[in-house]
Amino acid sequence: MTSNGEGQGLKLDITVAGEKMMQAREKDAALTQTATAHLRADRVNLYYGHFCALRDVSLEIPARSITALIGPSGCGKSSFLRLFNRMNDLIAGSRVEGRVLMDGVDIYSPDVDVVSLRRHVGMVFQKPNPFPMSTFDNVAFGPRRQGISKRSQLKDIVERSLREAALWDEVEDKLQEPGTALSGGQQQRLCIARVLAVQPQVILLDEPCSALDPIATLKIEDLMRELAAQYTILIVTHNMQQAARVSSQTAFMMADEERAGRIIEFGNTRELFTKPKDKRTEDYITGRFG
Amino acid sequence: MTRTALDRQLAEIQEDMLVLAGMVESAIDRGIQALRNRDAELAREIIADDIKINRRRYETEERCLELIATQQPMAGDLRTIAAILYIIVDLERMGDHAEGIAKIALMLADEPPLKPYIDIPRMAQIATRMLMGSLEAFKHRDAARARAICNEDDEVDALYDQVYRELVTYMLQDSKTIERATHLTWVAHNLERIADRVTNICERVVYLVEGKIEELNVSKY
Amino acid sequence: MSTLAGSRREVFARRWIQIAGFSLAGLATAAVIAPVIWVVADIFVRGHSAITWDFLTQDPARQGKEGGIFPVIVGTFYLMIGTLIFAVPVGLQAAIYLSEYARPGRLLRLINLSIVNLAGVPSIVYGLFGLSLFVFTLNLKTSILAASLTLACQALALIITSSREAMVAVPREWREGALALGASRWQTTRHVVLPRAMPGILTGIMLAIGRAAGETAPILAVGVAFQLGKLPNSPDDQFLALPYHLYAIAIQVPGMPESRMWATALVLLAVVLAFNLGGIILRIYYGRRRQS
Repeated sequence: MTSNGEGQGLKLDITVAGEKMMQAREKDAALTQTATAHLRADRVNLYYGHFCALRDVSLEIPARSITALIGPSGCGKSSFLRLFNRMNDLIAGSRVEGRVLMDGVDIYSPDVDVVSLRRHVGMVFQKPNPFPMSTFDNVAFGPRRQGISKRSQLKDIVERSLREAALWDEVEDKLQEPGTALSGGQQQRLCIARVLAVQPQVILLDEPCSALDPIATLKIEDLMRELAAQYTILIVTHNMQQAARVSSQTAFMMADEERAGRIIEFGNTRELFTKPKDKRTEDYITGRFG
Repeated sequence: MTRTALDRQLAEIQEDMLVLAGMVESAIDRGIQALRNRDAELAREIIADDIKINRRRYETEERCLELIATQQPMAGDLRTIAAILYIIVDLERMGDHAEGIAKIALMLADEPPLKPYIDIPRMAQIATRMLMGSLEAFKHRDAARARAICNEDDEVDALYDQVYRELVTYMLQDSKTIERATHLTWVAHNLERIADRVTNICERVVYLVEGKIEELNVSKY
Repeated sequence: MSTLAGSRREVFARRWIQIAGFSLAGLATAAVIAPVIWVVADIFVRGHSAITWDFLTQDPARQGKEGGIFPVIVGTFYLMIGTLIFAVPVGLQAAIYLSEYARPGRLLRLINLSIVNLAGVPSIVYGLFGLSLFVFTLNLKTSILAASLTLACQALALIITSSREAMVAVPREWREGALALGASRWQTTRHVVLPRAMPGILTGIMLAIGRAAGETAPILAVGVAFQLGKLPNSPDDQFLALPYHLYAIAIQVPGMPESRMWATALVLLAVVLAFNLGGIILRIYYGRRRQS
């Protein structure tokens, strides 16, 4: 029974002042729960069997913004991206040293449920991969696997997700048609809607526009900007102009002599593209590589 | 070595800019010469040539924009093109100032000189030296030299003060000299503006090399 | 412009080589199809007269020289069901394990290869294996149960192989997509892989069961009967089956009217063809659905 509402949890506080403070605190707590996650890699090494794919990689990715990963082919960008939803686990013989943290929690610790992690950290792939089902079923796939079966609930979720992905207007009267009947850009937005349906906090995008035409690409970039208000977004891209257009921070990676990927430079996008600090970054950005 | 097209186009644009600077330097030199020698014809030539300076500036500007559109320069290349775009503006304005000097030379051509011209040509000399130096600094990406050149602007400012005071003295002593003295003040003013513009160019060189904009010509007032 | 036309001789030669090649291929195809059509037609012509309602619904009499083959058909039918019950669950689960869960590596490749080879083992070997394991060791008596288990062993290899291939053909991207959405391995298998692979799986099953219907050697070894007083009532009972019945009346019973032999053959053929056709129709149906 403190008079200023301090303390943890939901202790009852009978004073009026205390109650007001309690309400404020609960509101704060609710906000942080819906707040997005901030990601951090701490001196991470990634091995596939004996081969070291990432060496001594440390990076801090701020919440609710877009961070881009650029670098030449084979520098480990995708491997690094997949650290955060543990998709590397699917490759036999993969091993991670160091820590990968989401909101301070090491996602590689043994008591983390990978399946649950992947609901918090969604991924969009390079080639749009809608399931061979209707658009509705595609978006409802995630929620259904989580146990939601009521039709009305699913309809709400599907509509919300498709609206968030800026696709609702184009598909609202053809939800039962196969997802594969959509255009490339629409399919990719469908995949984004699919991810949004499970309400993640982080969205990982692995060269999401490389299979799309320029107009579809720009639409997806617009979508990313909108989503960044609510989600933490990490995007791997080959297209430097895209990284420059879309991200707030950019990390430049390169493979070293033993073909292990390293982070060369990380910084504010505008600075990195006008006055990079490392010569290798400058050479890559100006296209004077090799 | 990739980006040969970009490098080649950048080199050509840089060359255009240097040519433009040469035209401006020539205009300044000839302007002072026309003033000294009361050469009306030379003055008219300089005035006519200003059109060429303007045209070259716009041509170079267009080439810069084309390069941006087609080559998407980044980082150092981007700063180079941005620097060039601004420098040619300054150069064109300097050309206008030089044209102003030539116009005054034309006006004074029929009149006897008010006094022997010493300080004004001196100002012009320093200004053109600063101009060519700044473009050398650009060519060699030499930020230190750019900074050093800015200091010479103080000399020009000092000379301007001197010229101004001297001419005011003349005007006070003899009201018949007012017209000529005023015109000469204007010449000195143009030269002082030219030197100022060179410091702008030097600021751009520093930006190009170091990536930050620094005010290099802080007024002593 | 002249270089585009190509030399006359070249064009001529190319054309005729093409015609020759395709003709050869066409002939080869005909050489394969023709005998099949001929055999089916021949059997039909020789046997259709004896196919009467009585033939199909009555018991055999006088060692099969009169009466019908009803219990034989029933016996074959029971065998197919038995094979289905034993082969499909085990085979499908094995295929799922091999396709989705097993760790890739040399051991897995070895296992897959072995199963493919098992499909080629002669059926009499399966028969003797069944006899030894089910009848002698497990003491099951010669019965529908033992025969079904034996046939199931043979069908197993086929079902595992075709189901595994159908599942492995499902693109990796869909699995990755499902896993990345927070689906478990099993959920991914159940909701993404299996539905997509189902046509291939079903076709494989139909073909395997159809083949089991026509097998003589395994059921011979396990002890199919020729004459029984009654229909089998339980899995424990003995049974009659079409392949063996056909063999018996053709070889072992003197004085058997020829038309009855051909008729029996026709019925057996019809059963096997029905299953194969079913498999094909399923494949076409699903194929068309996928395209829409």
